[in-house]
Amino acid sequence: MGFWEQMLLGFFHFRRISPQPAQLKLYTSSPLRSHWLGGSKKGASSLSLLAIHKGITVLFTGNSPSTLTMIVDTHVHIWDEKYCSREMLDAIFAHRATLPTDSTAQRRLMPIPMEAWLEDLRGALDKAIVIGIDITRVFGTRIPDQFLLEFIKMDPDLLLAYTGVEPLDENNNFKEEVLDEVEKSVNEYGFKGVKLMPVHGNYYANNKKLYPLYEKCLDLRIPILFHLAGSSFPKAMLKYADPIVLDEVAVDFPELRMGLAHFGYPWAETCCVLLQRNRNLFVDISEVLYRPRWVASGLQLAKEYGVLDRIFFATDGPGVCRPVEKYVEWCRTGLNELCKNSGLPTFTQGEIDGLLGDNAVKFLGL
Amino acid sequence: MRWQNNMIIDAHTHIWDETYASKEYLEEALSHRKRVGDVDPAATKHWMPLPREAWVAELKEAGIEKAIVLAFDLTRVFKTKIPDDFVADYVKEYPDFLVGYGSAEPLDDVGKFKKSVLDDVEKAVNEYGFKGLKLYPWYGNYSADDKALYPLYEKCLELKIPVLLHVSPENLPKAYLQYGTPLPLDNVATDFPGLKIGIAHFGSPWMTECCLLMQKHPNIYVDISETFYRPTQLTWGLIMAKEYRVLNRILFGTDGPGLGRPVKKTVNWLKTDLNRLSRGSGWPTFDQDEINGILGANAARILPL
Repeated sequence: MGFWEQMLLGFFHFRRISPQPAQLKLYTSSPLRSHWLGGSKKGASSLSLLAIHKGITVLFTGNSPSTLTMIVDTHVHIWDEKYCSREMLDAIFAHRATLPTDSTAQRRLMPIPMEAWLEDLRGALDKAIVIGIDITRVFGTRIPDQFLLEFIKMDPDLLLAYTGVEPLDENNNFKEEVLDEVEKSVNEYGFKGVKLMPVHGNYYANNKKLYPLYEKCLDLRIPILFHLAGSSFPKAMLKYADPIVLDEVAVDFPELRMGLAHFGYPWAETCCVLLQRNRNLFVDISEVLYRPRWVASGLQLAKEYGVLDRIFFATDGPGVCRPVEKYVEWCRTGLNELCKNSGLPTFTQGEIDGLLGDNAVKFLGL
Repeated sequence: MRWQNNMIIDAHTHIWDETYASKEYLEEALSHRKRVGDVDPAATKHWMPLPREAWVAELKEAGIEKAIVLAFDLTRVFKTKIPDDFVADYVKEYPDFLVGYGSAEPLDDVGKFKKSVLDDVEKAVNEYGFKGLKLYPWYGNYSADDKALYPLYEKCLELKIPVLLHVSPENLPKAYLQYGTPLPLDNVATDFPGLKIGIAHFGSPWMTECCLLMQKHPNIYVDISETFYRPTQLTWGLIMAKEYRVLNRILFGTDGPGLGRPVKKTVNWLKTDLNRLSRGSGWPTFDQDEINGILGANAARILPL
């Protein structure tokens, strides 16, 4: 492409991303960009002046146009302490205390009122998936579907929900009734997925007793999100946390979409090979955004494994990684700054757009 | 052979022939090549992407002075087998250049040890002059530390040949990741301290585990074949190997002719790109002895060739 063609390409690429003011993005190839930004900016100046005159923000960005359709947080919560056991509350506060959370979040399950949380989400996102939790077996805690339903009704365009399921009873038998419950969540409440927490339920995700549940989710065409990652809860044993066991499930259910929450920390490498082998798997980067160098290196690895297009932005808020906007912004700019400073390859505009929403939109069909 | 410090050994190559592959395996292997990175388009269509003469010429032109060629027995799950005698014929064509390794599928359909493999291995060594054995636990759905395999390890010890194991996953369905991790080799290395045990593909993605295993067991080594498609990961792995002080048991390999080509580019990655990446990241760099070690000196010291 010649100089003028490149300029024209950039010139006409307007994009408005809610909730920011109108922007004019100038997309140029990198040598041209360095000339504009580091050099005289001749080519850009008249264009910028015109845009500024029209009240449009001018951004100089990477060398490919943004394709971002929606910003999606694929993993958020809504809490109420009345549904939780004392043991679970103590465990979660202790866990939050190990993270750079605000002090309120270390004392209150819901650190801000529900309305404020909704505003936080609205300000930063186009879609948010609210994840239910059922860890009755070991932690005596269940956030009921009804409670999630009330919340998502507050902004049905923004909010979607997944139901939390505890699939085994105290004697390690499969709870047949969960099949009906999941069906009800989907058909009656319009929920879009299931959340399982093997590490907090003390079971392996590839336990064959769970297979009827996986079949049900396949029938209903809904994804399952797994907490297969570390946990600092006492009684949540790490042997159940290693995401490697999901390989067998993915091979046995190649059509069932399954997600690994929290980038399967600390097993990012295992996640990458799991995704490379199984195209039905995805990863969310909720909570671990607190460890930016680790996430950046995980994303580098995902890029090298060719699986970056199945990694989704997520926060795990409101208890952690709040305000959401701050973490959206980190993905937009902070990630590449970190990579650049470390001498690592940077991510293209398309890859960042994918991470922030496009990947989830495509893969989950939002 | 007389060894000079700057000679290059490719410790991991193959010879392919589609008549020996099941349709299922072949499709998966080609699909893996498509996904792994920038691969010769011919290699995404044909298991053997170029004639063997051209392949050997490419190796030699890149400065390789010895290449280990591995037989490939995946009978149990994938009904695919590049047999020892096929490899032996190929080695006979280039006796000064190629070193053959046999391959065995040690368990039968019901998970019982196949006693016949003991004779096969003996034949491979005594008749074909092979210098090692390749096992594929990950493709065979068995764990490398399955006690049923111990007679085979004993046989290798007796024949004084190394065992190279594929404990590192690719894209194949039906091959579960739980059999793909290098960690079970801890048990094997403990029970057979005299047996040389190789981990192919740097146990990718579990390079950290490999470093730990090598630190613990002086009889374990790794080859870095196939990992060139993920340069940041490989650089990081080599930095870790340096920090664990096990870099002198890291061996160069391409995994060619399907992957790791052009060979010259792969060799040059180690010679120049590796240090460029390390320096750019502010990490320690590798000196000439360390790089020569990976390229050939380590293999010459560790392996019978």
